Amino acid sequence: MNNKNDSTITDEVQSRLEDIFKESEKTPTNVEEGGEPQDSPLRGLKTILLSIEWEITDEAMTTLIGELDKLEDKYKDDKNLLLFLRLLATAGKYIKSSKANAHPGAIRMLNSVYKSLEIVLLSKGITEAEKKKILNTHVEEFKKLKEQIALRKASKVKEKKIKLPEEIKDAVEEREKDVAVRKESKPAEETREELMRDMSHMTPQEVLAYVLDEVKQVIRNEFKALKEELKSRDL
Amino acid sequence: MAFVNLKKKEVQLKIVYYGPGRGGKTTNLEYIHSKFSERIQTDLVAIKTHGDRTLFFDYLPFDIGKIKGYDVKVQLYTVPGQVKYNATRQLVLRGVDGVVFVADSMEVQRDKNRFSLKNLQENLATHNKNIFKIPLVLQYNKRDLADQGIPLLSIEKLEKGLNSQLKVPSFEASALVGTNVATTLKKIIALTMALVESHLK
Repeated sequence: MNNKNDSTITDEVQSRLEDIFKESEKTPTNVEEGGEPQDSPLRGLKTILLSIEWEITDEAMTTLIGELDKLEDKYKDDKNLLLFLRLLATAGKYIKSSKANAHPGAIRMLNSVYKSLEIVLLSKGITEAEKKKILNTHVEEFKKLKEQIALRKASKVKEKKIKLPEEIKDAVEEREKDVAVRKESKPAEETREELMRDMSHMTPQEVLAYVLDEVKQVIRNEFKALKEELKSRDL
Repeated sequence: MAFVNLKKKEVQLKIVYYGPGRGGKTTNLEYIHSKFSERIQTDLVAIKTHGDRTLFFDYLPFDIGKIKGYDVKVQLYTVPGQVKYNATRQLVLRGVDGVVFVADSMEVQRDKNRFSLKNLQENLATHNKNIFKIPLVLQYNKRDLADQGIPLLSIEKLEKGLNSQLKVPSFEASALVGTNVATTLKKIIALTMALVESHLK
């Protein structure tokens, strides 16, 4: 394309596209335009929580706890807000230490407490009593979660401690002995394989001599057995 | 770089619609084809097997006319979203100039979106292209499903999970009813043309 008037190429493309794709489409909602006010004190916290929604990493959890520390310091004089932040921090620390084994309720709690914190902190005209009421629902939620986690732990310990009943224990021991005896008596197939392995280092002549000896021995044994049988009949 | 034929004074832009299976890539092209068929006057070529799922690709070429004496042709492609068709995706991405990543807004598709975006990055890399440099637009599709009570990922979550590093233009959309389908297309063509322009300077 020519360098002359290049600045208008993009404009020309855009106006051409407008002509081609003219329609009564509703005004485009460019995602970047909406969202959180830039000066919200919870903006950082919200960003971290959204990233935790996608992936729980050590780094994200450490950042979360750090951000909560900062907010706790900022709102140290507001008892209600402080409790909201502590609930979040407790859940955050638990998720950080338990990682993939964390109770799914803990992540749900993290989000629900955050949503309420946003209401409590950013809503204008909310009374202290209303704040307290919202906080109490989360304290209850936290207590329930704690119980569920304790139950989960207890059931895991129980699983580990389960002993085999005596009759099953005996059956297992019997089975193990049986397997050991079977291992001692080698099957014919196994003996043949061993023999083949032993012969593998012999020359063909040696193998032939060995086989002939074996055949002679078998014939001798057969004759001996036959003689003994005839003798016994004579008697 | 787009294919530029100086002799024929022609510029060809290859735009690929990428994303997880069942995310709405083909629906985007079908909407464009049906809604603007009078103006673009070309056929949507779809090679399909195994029922109604795109196992190869859809192809919609059209002209946007002469710009500064150059005939600008746009080729839209979709890729099969299903995980096992990666070889086809790599093939379709060869010579790509711009990408529309069609994310599925449904909450249950969260991981699939992420895997698909990661897969796009890897497949672009096999063609020596960088996801951070190629013209790219994100489309958060199926927003209309919220009306049916289907749990959707919030736009904030989608932005955080898919666009926090890329920081590319993104649009909420519903390919089925056409919301922001044309807007997405206009944006990717404009971005791609701007890059072509910068290369030609």
